[in-house]
Amino acid sequence: MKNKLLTFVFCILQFSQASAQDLSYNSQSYDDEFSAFESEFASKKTDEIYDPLEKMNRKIFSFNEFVDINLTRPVAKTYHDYVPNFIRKSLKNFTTNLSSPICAFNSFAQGKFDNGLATSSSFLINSTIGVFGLFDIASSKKIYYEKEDFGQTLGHYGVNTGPYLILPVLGPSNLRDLAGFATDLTIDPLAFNYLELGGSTESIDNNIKLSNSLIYNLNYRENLLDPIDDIRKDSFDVYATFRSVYNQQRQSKIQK
Amino acid sequence: MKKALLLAVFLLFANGFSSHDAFAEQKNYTEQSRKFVDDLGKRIIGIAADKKISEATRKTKIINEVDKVIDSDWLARFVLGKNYKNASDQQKSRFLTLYRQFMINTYGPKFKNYNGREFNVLSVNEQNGFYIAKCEFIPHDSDKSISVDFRVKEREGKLFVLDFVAEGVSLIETQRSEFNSTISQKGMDKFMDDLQVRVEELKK
Repeated sequence: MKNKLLTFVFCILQFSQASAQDLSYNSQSYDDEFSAFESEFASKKTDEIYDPLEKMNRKIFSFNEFVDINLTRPVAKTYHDYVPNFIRKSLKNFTTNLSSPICAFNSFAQGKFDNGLATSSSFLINSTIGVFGLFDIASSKKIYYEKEDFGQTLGHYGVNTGPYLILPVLGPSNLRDLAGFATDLTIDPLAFNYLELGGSTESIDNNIKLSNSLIYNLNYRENLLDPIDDIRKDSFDVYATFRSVYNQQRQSKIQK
Repeated sequence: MKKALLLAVFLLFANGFSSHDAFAEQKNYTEQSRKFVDDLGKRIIGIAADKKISEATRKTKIINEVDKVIDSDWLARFVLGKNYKNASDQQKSRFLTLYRQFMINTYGPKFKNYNGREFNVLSVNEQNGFYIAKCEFIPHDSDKSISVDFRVKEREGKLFVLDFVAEGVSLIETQRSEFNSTISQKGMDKFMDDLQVRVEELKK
């Protein structure tokens, strides 16, 4: 009887100890899982964006917002509402196709051979069967590629972002991506080089490139009509939201 | 003595079984997370594509779905970042209430745009105690899929969504950055006053 009682007490003690551990585990595990996520988050370094020029950036951002709200967005919205979808799609295909050689170059430069080959195949197919890129035949054959630029190539080889920048009219960037952007423009024979604006190199060739660049950017802005409207409507600090989204997207593309 | 020995052997085996159970449980939660996210995605697509219901009903249904699966207390704590530690108990409590309302009323209705053709869970991986479900969403107007990830956590046998990452952009990372920037400029109380005004507008 004594033994049975002892065993019973022992079991009760074991059970109560386990329950006490469970209770302390619940509040502790909540903190532990939180700390684990905080550490993982801190290691990604997206929380602290290097923005030493924030004051100046915010001023340029306000200017860009003014230009976008009063000029770029209305033009993009009119384009979306009044130009038939098949024309918009063809123009988007055409300008995207022209930008693919530089994308292939950057894919190969990063050792992403699959993406480089997919981009090259897409360019060849769409430029020929797709009538100068007006039709995206490659996508219909399930040939997809990720867009790559020289900023991503620099990031791939470990170049840090440098300070976050807002470029007049062009929008969010950073020192690394700005250098990448300038390099892409310089080495891409099909791109309009903004660095030549105002120079004496105006020619038919340059006008075609400028038109191509304007259409490309118009399509780009049209695609972002809803997401940008949502950010403006929902965000308590539009500048901080754009900054975070830009950095996350760039980091995600570089890690792909 | 014999009984004590038997009890010791019993406890030893019980311990062995429980660690085996823990492994099986983890595997089980990976599978459960897959099903949980797959069901959730398909339910939302189903509601978003349901032409028989009104816009208002669709919004309410999606808000209910989102409210059921998020752990708003955890999210609120994360998005406040360093400000959570500095906040008073009263501020924390006020923020937790406001944040839940803000989340479900702001982001719930946005899912109504997810009336795509297909939603598939591609993989689920355990990472630091979370389950990361990598999914693809195929819209009606394109064959190219959109990458959508869910961060899922099991707590007391129930699964919760802790983050939603679309094309590399995390919802809670973006909110954390935005909220911290706002709090550093306006202060915690002014930020919460603005949040309250926003929530009241959203509920109208």
